Amino acid sequence: MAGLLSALPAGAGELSAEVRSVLLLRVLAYDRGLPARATGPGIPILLLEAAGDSASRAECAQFETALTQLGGKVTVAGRPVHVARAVFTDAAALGKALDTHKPAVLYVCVGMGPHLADVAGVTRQRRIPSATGQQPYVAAGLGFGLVEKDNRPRVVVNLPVCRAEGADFDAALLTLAEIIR
Amino acid sequence: MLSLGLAPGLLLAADGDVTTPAPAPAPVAEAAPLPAPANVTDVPAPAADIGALDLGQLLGTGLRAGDLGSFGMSLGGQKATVEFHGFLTLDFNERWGDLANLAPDRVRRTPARDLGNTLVGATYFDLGQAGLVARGGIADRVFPELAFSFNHTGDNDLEELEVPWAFVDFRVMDWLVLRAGYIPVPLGAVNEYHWADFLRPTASLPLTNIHLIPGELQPWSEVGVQVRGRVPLGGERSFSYAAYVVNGGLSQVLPANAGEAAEGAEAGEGGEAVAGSGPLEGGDPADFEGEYTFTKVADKAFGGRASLVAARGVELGLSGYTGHYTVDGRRRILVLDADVGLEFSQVTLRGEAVLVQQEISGALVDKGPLLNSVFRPGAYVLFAYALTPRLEPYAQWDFVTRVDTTTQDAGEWFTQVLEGAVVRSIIGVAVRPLPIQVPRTLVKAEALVTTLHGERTELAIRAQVATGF
Repeated sequence: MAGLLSALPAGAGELSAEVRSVLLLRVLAYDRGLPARATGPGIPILLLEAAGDSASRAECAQFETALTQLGGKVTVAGRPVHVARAVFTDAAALGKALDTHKPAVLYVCVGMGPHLADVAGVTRQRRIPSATGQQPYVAAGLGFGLVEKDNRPRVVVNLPVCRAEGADFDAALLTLAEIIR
Repeated sequence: MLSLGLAPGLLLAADGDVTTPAPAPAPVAEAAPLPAPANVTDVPAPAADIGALDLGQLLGTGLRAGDLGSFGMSLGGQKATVEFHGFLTLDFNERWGDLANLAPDRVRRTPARDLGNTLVGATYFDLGQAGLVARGGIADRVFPELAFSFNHTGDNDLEELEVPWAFVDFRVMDWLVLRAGYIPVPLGAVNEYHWADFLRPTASLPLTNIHLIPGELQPWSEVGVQVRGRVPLGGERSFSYAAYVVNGGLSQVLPANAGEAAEGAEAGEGGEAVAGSGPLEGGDPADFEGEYTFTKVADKAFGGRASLVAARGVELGLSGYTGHYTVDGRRRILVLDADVGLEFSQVTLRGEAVLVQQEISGALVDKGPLLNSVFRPGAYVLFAYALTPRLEPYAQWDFVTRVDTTTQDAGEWFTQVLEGAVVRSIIGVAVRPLPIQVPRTLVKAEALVTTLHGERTELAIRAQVATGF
């Protein structure tokens, strides 16, 4: 593969949408539970934003664009990627959305801090892995995070949560990721 | 601008600008199902799968000060398969007669070998071969292989911890493989393909692979590069080749006829130990050791092997090697080998003829290499017949000899051939206790009669358990 992910400039803060999109799809490919979960012709990804939160909406939009562009160029486990967005109102509505979209992963955008418990409850009930770009969200109960540390991208995996959500990550990922047990 | 590289030709660039937010979608209760293509076959196939991307590289998981682990931690992102294999051989040896190695100019390393009696070392177990092989496969293109071995535990004259080979293969095509590293030299068939005991019905290596192509401790390997491959010719026929350039580091580091003279032993008789004497040239290749200072000169060693599988079970090979063999790099060695292998029905017939020419400093230095050399011809023939899948008796005959052509009298050459000839006959049987389930585990027993010019004779029996796993 030509090119490497270049080091982030000092003070860059969060990972860019493009970097997160690459990492999200690459991490997804390590999930041995993916074939059982995503049975259709594509790999659906659902992005969740907080209602009435402009920062959340902005991140969601950027990430949707980045994922859509990347999905036009790569596959995951040989299948194309489809991206959709949703707005969180309550746990019941989220559950219906997951039943409708049947995503391979639910990506939780910034601004969802007050609703993490509800989100985590629904994803575990429906065994759909959750991901985020916010490290505190991973510690608080989401499955895995795509974050920046020491000017490098990092994957943080909350192992008990991932297992509860039905993710079965290959050991090759776990040797590279930061693990929360 | 932050850029990412993916598959060749896939270069994404982030423009760094926040995209204009799209209109807020409807709340989840009213969300429409995910759009799907009307027909999945209408979607043009994307260029590459994300799984080919090296996550370790993406994360920049190089080792930094204070990090956990070693540089091996950075390898986890590769989709590589790793296999571990090994081989083990346990011998039981019983020997009668002169214990000394019967090759006339073989250097003796320890006093035990100078004592011509059966009280010392005539009956012993020997962990003849014990090796571990790690082999990797990356993207069905790159195949590294690394071996460790600790051979001859129990025979303190030969016991050594070694890396018998370590190389990486890069498969360009099936007929073109690039190999680099510490490479088993493609000389004949035994050194590269039959050296490990579990790959032969016999318990003993041929004399040619001890005294001509040194392989008593490990296969003869050299550091360098090689191209190799197999070209199908239709049906069962194929042509294989290997060509290489290497340091040629295997060299004579012990003076011929040197070593500690055993107390009471006569010096100079038939090549027995004479302390401190002998030139650093013309010695038995079995005593060569590897990698000395001359290996850094530009004049390298090179060679190759070509083989033809003419029909199923019929292989003919020709190989050669030329390089330096003395520590000062001034004397050259040439090895020529012709090998044949026939395997059909229950019959295995193998043989090799080897000729080694070692330049030496002789009186006729102006007469060219033919009259300024030690020649070492040798050959082996193996015949094995599988009576049943479990039981395979065999017979092997081999010989090695030497002639120093610096003597002027050609008639003396024939005398030297006879006087220096070590001739060995072996009969034995190989048993595969579980030929289907465990085909690479054998129990062997053989009787060996070795003579030097019909005068000094050694009788021996060897029992062996050999396994590859």
